[in-house]
Amino acid sequence: MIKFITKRLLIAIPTLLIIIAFGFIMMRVAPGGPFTNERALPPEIERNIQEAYNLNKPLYEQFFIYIKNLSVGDFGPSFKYKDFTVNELIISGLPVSATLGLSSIIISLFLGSFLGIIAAVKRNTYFDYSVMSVSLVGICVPSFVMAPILSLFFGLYLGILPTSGWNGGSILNLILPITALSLPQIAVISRMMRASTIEVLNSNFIRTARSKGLKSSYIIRKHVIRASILPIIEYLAPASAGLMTGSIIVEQIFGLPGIGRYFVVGALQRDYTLVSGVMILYASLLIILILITDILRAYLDPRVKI
Amino acid sequence: MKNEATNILTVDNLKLHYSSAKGFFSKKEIVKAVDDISFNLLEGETLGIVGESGSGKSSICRLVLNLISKSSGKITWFDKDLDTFNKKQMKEFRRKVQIIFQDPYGSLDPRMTIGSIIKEPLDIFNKKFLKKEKEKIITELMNDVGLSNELFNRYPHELSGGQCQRVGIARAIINKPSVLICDEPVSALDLSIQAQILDLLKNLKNKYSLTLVFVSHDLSVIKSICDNVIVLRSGKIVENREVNDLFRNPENEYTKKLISSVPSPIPLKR
Repeated sequence: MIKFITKRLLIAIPTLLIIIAFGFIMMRVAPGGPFTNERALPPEIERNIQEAYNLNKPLYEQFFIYIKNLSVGDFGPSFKYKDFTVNELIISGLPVSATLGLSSIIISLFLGSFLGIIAAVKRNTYFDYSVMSVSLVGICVPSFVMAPILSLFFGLYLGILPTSGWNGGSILNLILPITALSLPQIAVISRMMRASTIEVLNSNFIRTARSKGLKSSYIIRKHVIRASILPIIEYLAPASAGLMTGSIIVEQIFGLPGIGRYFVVGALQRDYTLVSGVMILYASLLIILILITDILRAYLDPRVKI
Repeated sequence: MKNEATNILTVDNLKLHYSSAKGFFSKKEIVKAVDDISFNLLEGETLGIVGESGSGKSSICRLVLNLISKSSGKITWFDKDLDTFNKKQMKEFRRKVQIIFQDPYGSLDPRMTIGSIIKEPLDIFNKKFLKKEKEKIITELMNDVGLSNELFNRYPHELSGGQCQRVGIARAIINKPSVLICDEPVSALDLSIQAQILDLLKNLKNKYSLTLVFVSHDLSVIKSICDNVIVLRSGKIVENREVNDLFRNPENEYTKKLISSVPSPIPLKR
């Protein structure tokens, strides 16, 4: 087990290096730079800025400087948010995004699989049809529609929840953004869970369990869930990496200081270090989550060897 | 001699019909998987059910156990209609009537150890047993079915087909059922293992005084183990007779064909 984890983490290092190099080159290849303005700067000032950020050096040298700083955990200064380092930006924004993402992924996992299992057990009944049609709506309505509707209804018309703001992470402020993030996930998970549960329910070992005389609730708990949750686990790794690094839409609509916007803003403004920083964060998170998924899968299915 | 035995299970006019449409616009067709079948199961006998693939053998097993619902007909267990059973009676019926499935590997939960698969029926029916007593029962049973105790903490995928089928048999008889339905228990196994499993079933039948329902498509297997035989063809009973009688002078054309199709150990000279 420990050997497996160390091996996977060692493999992760070259993976990350490739991702960093790729991101580095892509950003530099894109036209324009962090200091390209509509109004041209005087050449001396431009040269000074270039020098300050090492932009005048050849590309490979810039890359090595960047890697050298990275190896001690320094993501470098942000090119656009003056006086902030990328480390500071991530440290201030990540807790917000991670709180939202983690809560919403936990809620969707439980609610989604619960609904999916019941829909599968009661398949082709009105319960099944209503859960599945509501979840279809949940998948189809994008969050930039759902979030304002939620905000309008609960925040403005009913006035029971704040429409926006972080407010130090108070629960009331979190309810609406978490709901907006969770709804599509609940929809996807419940549909996946329904399909996989139906498949498991039709398998031979469930027939054996029934012929043993076991109660159906017991069969669901003991035999079905462990098998039918597997596809959900696989789906969860990329989904939670995405949710935990923030969603620009939900964060913008609810005015939350997360890191979701840095992906978009950083790329648009050619903020080289910021984009690289959040990209490395996302990639490492994904690598760790996939590792956890593999361990979980081996735990849930003894046929899988790790 | 068989006439004096008690009748424990009676099946009357059992039917299982599916309706299936071949295309979107075509008329619905009714598939008669089991069509108007009646038979009795006498205590202590071994009843063989034989027929080609798709003749409804497995469907009958599952219908009798109420694992799938019938279209019409009546199944009576000790003069009581199965349809009138409440949950508790149904549970007791499931304890008394057990089944071994055709696919030895797929019928075991791949996520459970051999020990817990065998133990599970014990857990739900005999809650009062202590852990040690349970372990003792399981160890004895594993010996009875010819499984080494080292396999207790293994998973089904680590076992051979024959071992898996032994696990299936062990978990079926752990609660001392009175009827054991064997739904083609040896068809997925090779010949030497087949013989071992058949021997095992014969021994267990005597040791636990079981009534066996033995389903197979293989007449030589049926001949070696059964007292009475039902010959099925496309959901209907063709013949229902004593086994030696059936082999000596088969009445029906289909039965004759089945018997003559059994490969003989000595190849015919041409």
